[in-house]
Amino acid sequence: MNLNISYNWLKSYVKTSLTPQEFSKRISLSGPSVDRINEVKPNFSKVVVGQINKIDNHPDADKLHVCQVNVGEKEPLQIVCGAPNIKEGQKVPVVLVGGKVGDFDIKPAKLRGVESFGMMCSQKELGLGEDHTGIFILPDYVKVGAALESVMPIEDTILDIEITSNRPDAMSVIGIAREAAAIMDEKFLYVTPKPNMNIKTSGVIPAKAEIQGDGFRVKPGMTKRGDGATLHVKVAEDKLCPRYSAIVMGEVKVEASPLWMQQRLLASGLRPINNLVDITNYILLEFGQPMHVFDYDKLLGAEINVRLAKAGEKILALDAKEYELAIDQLVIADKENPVAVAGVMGGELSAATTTTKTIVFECANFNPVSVRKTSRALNLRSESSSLYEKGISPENCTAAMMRAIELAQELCGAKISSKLVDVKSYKYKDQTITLDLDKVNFALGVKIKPGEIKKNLEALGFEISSTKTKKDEFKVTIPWWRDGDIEGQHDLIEEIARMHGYHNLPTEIMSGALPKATASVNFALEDKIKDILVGFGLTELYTYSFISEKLVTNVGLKLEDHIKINNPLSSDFEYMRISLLPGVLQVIAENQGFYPSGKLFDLSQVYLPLGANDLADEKFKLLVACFGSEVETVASDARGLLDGLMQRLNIADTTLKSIDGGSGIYVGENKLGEIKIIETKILSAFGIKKAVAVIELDFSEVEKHAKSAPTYKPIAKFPAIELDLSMEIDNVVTFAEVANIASDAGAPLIEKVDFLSVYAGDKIPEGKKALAIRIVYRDLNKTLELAEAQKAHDKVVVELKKSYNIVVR
Amino acid sequence: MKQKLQDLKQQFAAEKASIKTPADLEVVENKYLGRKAGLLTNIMKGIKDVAKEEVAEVGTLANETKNYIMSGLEEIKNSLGGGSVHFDFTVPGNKPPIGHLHLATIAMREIEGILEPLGFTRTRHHDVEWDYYAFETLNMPGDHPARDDWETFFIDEAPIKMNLPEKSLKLVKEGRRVLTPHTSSIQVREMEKGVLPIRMMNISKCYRRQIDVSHVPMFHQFEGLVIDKGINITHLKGTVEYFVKKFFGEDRTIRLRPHHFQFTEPSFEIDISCGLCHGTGKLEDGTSCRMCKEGWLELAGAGMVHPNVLKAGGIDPEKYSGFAFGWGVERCYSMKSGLNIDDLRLLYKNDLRFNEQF
Repeated sequence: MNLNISYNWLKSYVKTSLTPQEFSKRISLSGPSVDRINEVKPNFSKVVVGQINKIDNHPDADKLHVCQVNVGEKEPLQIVCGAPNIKEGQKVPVVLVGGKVGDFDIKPAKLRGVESFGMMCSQKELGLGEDHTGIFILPDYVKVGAALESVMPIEDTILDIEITSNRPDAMSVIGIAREAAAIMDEKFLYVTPKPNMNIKTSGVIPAKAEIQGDGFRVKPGMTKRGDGATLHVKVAEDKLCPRYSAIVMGEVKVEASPLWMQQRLLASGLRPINNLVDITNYILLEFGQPMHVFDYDKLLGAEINVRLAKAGEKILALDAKEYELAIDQLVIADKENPVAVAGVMGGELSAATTTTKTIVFECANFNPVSVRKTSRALNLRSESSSLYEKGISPENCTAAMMRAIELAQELCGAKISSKLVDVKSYKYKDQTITLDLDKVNFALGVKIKPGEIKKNLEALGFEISSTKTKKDEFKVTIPWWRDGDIEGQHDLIEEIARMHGYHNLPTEIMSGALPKATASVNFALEDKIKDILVGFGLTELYTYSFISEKLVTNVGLKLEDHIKINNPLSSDFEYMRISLLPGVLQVIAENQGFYPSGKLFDLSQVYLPLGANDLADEKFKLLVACFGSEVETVASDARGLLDGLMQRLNIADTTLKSIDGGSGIYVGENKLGEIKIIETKILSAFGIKKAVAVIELDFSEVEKHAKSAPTYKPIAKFPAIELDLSMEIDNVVTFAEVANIASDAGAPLIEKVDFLSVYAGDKIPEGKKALAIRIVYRDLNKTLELAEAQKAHDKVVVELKKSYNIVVR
Repeated sequence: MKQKLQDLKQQFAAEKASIKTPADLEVVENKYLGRKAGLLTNIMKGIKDVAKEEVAEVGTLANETKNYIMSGLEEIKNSLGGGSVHFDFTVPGNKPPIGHLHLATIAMREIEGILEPLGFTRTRHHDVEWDYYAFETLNMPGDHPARDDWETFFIDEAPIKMNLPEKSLKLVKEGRRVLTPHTSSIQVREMEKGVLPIRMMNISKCYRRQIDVSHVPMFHQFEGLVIDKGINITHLKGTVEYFVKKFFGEDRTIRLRPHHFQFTEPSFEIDISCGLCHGTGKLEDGTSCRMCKEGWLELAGAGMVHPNVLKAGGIDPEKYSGFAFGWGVERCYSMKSGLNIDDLRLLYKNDLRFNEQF
């Protein structure tokens, strides 16, 4: 999780003279990492506080207003403005003529015929925030005519800090300051807030809230408000809400927050609303403690019930959406209705508004799993929920509540009107861990001085004492804010290591015996196949393992044969493929416009379903595809590639057996795969306008037969005789069948039978083709006589006539 | 005829001195030896008129003359030197077919090549995996929010009985099938083989529910895992530094930064100095570098194997320790080569105009 915070704010809690850059570098190496440093400077000049005296409608434009704005000069300025949120009496930032916002120079202008001298600005125009919905309305206390940068701190550096999920305690200004102080060996400037806890009542004698130690230990139950009203707090689900503290404050004055506070909120990307809401957001950033503020008068029965939602209950949340709640979701309810989804978001109807007089501050702790589940189920996330999800300590409520009270007194003139209610279902107990210093030195590979360990851990808030049992051993007490994170000695070792600095540790390569290699996968063969095919000029593809329903059905496969993803990203990625073909055909479809022809391959897994409680059978397949305009060319290319591949893999004796649309590829009885022409029906389903021929091979079968080295054969000592044979033969008879008959008939003299040509058409009878072959005869032991070869050749002709009724041409 | 042949010989002997250029040579060659109207050819046409008893003698003489002329020409040709054939090499020639490995293959091979000499053996497990190995055994029990970080694809909506050997089901009996969201799912699988020490690498596909210019739902990671007696942080640092220097070059610097992963303790992230802004975070024109974070690029996560993970793999954390690291292959490679691929989705779109650039 990333947090944007003002460096100036941070500096109010940690003493440092470092530049933001040096500071960031330092803490990134030992703690939270600063991702970005953004310097903020005024992007404007001559911007002063103005007060709108009068607003008239523009004579010629519906949306424009003509304003008279007092900027502290003798005469007010006339400024034409189109913003929807301006009202008479408001104070606003005004750029004077001759001034500038961003790259925009302000000059006297006429807008639809009315003269305008200056400009009122939004937060966004001033570079202060993202809000561009209207003019930035300033709080009432600012002096008319004052330069904006004199009433609002603008120059600052904003640090964008990444905090890991195990450190919710550091997701705050105070948390980061504490880390930084420890890392840089500087002073942590935090002081526990101590607001005036006198209860202000109208006509009733003031009482004093009970304070014990650094927090409040007040019995749960009912508390009386000064004027006689009450606040009943009841926590029905103490497992889901270990702590709920609340206080009623009256006489609040709701207005814009002071500009120093607005600037800090804006720096963190939060939009200032009014001083009440801003206080809760400020506490969220400062303490990492979510808070909520209710309008006391809107809580029916003055009740706060922390309970599970009832079936069918609904809440209109602060995001103006209505949510239907489920019975396992924790809510804050008044006498009747939910007023907040606990830890996630408040309700619109009980929210504090500008007319609010009396408020209830909530500072509570909720179960992380419950908050997470609720937030997920409602698809509703907030700064609060994401903090609660990480698991913050309930102890964090104490000081945060005090700070909120202090700020409310300071900024809203609020008076405490009730005792502080603090319902706790846990009893805090210190956790301790025994730390063996030998273990530390072993894990880090260097010896760290006990003094350094003690100093660093104490700076982080740990308490150290020695144990009586062993010399090199510490008893370490964990500070409450690290309870969820530090579980054992290994966690303490991490603290020691990072404080020492990973960059200060030496580097080494493992010595020790090499492990027994247990390569279960033939990566070398995968590499070899890829290299062979790339050598043949093919392009390698990586297609997605999951494909769409359409792709599955396009190739005629059945959806039910596929493993289906329960939460696919989109319908494009829904089924785990059982064939590489659909993905590769898709690639051809998408590329055919740019490439008239091509040769591609994909060597990857397919995912065949096994039993209902099993994983998948992940088989590696090789798919080679040739596409182009002529079917004969692509088919012949594919066949050529198959021969080339088999030759390079030293797989001899492959045979092809006809199947529908192609041939099965065999070595003996083992089927390696298929070579085939893709049928038109499939091609048109993909919109492919080319002919496509493919080779599909099972990697595991190829692996069985591939040899790393070829078998050596001596070079023939005696010459060969080549005799050609041209014949007319039935169309359906394959070359392989002819070659097989010939080889048998001419054995043992035939060395090989080569294909020369095939022709069908003119001069050849229907259903026949002209096939020409070349037979190579050789005698391994002597020079073969032509007569001998001719005798064998004649026998070949006889046998071919017998088997296929050929006519020699 | 005999006379004619002898005259021809002398004529050639006289004329050959005048040959100065390859063009001259060609003219002279044609004049004497041309197939249709060469002087020698013309003389030889008279052979039919030669008396029978003289034929042999004339034939010998004719051959002798021919050889004399030819060797003379050859001699001159050699003395004139080469260059007689003119070829315009600026015209593109017959190109052999050029194949293309996919970028992912290229990257994986390079990574494998660096780790192998350190004794890392490559291995591979399942893409479709139990969440037991992806999360449970990695110190992330059922409800752990850290599981959310992985944006996981699930096959099963709810946990089912896992068909695994009894000894593997130490923590739970039921689980969901997932597409492995990281290569670390292999850690406990490797430990369960029961062979120590372990020094393995896994370079495999991973899947996460994200797709945009910088994320693809299928990508590759590589994982290193070392478990032995006496392994500590310095070994992790040493291995990572060795890899980075080999892969990225000696001029890039790395830093180790504390981080958090459930399955390692301590955990860190490894950053490498940015190649674009040379680690300054600022470009030459003073603007912030968009490629990196203040001069550093996040490269990988790493850490010492958490004792709970060792226990889940049946290894005694009191006796053995180890480290693991994992990084994105595509990310790593594009940082190295400065490819600056503006849209990672291109990697698996298989636009051949992209694939054929590598």
